[in-house]
Amino acid sequence: MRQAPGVSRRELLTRGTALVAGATVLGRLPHALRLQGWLEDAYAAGPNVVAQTMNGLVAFIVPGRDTYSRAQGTKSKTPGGIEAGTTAVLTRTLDRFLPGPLPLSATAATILNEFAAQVDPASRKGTFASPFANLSFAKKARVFQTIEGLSSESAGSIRFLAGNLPDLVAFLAYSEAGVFDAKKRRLRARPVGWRLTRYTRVADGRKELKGYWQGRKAADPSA
Amino acid sequence: MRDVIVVGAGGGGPVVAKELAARGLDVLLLEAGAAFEESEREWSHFENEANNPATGVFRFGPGDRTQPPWARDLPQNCFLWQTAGVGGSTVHYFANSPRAMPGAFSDFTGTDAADYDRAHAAPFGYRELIPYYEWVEHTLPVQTAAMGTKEERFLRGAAKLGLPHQTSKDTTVAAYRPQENAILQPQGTAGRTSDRKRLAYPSARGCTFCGHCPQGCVEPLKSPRNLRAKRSTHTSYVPMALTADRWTRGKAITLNPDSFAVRVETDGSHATGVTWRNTRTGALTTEVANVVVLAAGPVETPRLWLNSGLPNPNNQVGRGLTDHYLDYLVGRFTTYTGSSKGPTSAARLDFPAFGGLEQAGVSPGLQGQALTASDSGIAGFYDNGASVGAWGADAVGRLVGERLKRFLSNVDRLIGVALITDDDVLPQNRVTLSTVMAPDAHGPIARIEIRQRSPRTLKNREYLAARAVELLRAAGAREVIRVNLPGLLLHLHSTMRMGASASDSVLDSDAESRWVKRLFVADNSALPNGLGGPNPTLTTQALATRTAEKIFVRYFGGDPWIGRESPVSSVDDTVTQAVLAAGL
Repeated sequence: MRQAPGVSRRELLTRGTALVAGATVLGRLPHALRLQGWLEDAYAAGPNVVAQTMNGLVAFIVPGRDTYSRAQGTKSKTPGGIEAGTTAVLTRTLDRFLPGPLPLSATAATILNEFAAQVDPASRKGTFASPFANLSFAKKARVFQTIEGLSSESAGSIRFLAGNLPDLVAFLAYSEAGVFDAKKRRLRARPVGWRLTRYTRVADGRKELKGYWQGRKAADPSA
Repeated sequence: MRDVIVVGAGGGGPVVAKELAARGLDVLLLEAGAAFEESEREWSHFENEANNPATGVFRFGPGDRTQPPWARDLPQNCFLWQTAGVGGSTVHYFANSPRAMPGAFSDFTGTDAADYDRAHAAPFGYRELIPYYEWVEHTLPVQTAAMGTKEERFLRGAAKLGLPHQTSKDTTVAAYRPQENAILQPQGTAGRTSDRKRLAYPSARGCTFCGHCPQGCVEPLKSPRNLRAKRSTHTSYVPMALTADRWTRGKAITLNPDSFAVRVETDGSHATGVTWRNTRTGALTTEVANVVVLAAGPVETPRLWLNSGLPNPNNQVGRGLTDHYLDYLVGRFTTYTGSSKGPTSAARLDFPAFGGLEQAGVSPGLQGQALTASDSGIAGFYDNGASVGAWGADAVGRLVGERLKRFLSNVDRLIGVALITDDDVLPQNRVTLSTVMAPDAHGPIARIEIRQRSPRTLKNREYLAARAVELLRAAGAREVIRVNLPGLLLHLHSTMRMGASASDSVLDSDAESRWVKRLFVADNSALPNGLGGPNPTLTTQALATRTAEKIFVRYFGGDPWIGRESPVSSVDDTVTQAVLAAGL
């Protein structure tokens, strides 16, 4: 494990446990944020902070040539999730998944930012208004390690949220999500994720049939 | 008054509906989600458009996509993958249709019997189920899968391990084989061209190797609904049920989409009907029936039971959830594998008393999602103290950053292996009602708790992980990643389990409720256990066929037909003509 100076893993877990004391489910996360004094931060987190945090997250999972990727110390020669247009779709997905007075994206951003500030207090001041976005790649990993290490029974909803953020980002970044025109039901451009993976394209069929294993086209009848 | 009301048009409900409609009964089939009447236009090959959990066509939510999805209380790191709508999760399933392990049934006497979850064995014998398997396998139909490159490499790797090639449908020893899939195999130009102009029906028939099984199947283009390659119930059983007055001397069912069942009506000891809410108008409707069949799935069926205030004297409703404790391993190769093409899964290995492995090939989005979902932290950074083994894999955990990009740099040089564990029934793993999240318009929502894994479950999963690494290496993988998935909840079963003992089961050996008569269950929740690992849909459908027969004999004075009559295939020309005449 890579330690951040000044804050021990034990301290992080202690602070995290306080957070989850009132956060038994996703729907109560705002209540838990209030207990921590984070709720005001969450509501005050303007669209810019939320978007920066989501950008910092997207760059962490699928880095590219953007400023967020460079800020975390990643040198990538190819485009990443941000160029793929992932951030807006990620925000929309989170907010549609659990509608409420406090958008889930703001809740997620606040959690990432508060843990980021605990992992590295200096992250509150940096290029971005989002502490999480200011972290190095390794320290972003430590944020997830801390959240996933919350062991209390009531931490389940936070583990659910944090556990699903990376795979949701990857799914969106490597799919067509960022360039799909929903009204016309077609792509505005070739998705970045397809370029990154050398995926051909969606199709109604492929020339890929190789035949049948040992030529057998049917199983034996039941004994 | 209806003869029968079936709640849920997923994998099991339409089987009961079609079988009883073919007997001439008046059947109402309720579905909470969309009708998908114009699936060729509504569905999409695009991954996010289809599978986004909040906005996708195949989310678990109302047919009106401007509304948010329906919530579940999931108090652990997990991902629940279910679809609402006609066809249910069979619209996105991979159509793998193996039979269950005989060791999951009461009549098993093999020398390894003690290695199974015998305390929760099916309350009847495997041999009794075979005629029902055969009936369903003919109806869907189930066929031996053809190969693309990824299957060829997978099967060659399996052969190098020294395992035998299984040629029977019944699994008795550890072996490999092409999948028995509910997919019409390629004919004509299907699989032989990428030219869209040559891929329309009837030039192309069966699977066109498009590679989009998780996004539904409307191939070949312009094919009648009942002749589409993948045999979801949307394609097979529902069209037969809707036209039972045309292809046989039955009675066409009434199908009500957008109808969320909120209460099972009873007179105290018998089911008398169902009340449902129209998800577009909010209107409540009640209909009475002689028999009610619950098939809303292993999450919603126990929820409906509990929200209806039905008896639960042994506290077993919702308990005993099994999910095959899935895992995923991926091999990276130096040469072409065609991983994004062809049916998602068309080859498998089975290890009786342990579970199985199946090849899995998906498009970039789902591949990326699978590589970043883990209980073992981030590979190279932390592992959460997870006690799973690498077994020779190069890394355990999720990949992120440049490592993810490097691994995914060519999606057609990967082979994925899904690990399906024979897991034990434990009462701690369950579906219950959430007391902490707000109820929705249909009552208190479901809470899914995965609390514990038995030592045997953990042992089986590690055994299979080791075999998966061996397989991928034998197939030529240069790099292997074991993801160690958190709960990937897509094989869910046994939450309303049938059992031999009244003390630890909800249903009797005929899938009828022990405490409310004329009330049956016909989805995965009725399964007694995890079946030894094989994918559950075929067994649920065979069991649903058996349940339909029990209902017909017990409550409608009919005669059994399995073993006495010949089934009509859903691709029979009489069905095609009926589907076309009905304008489906």
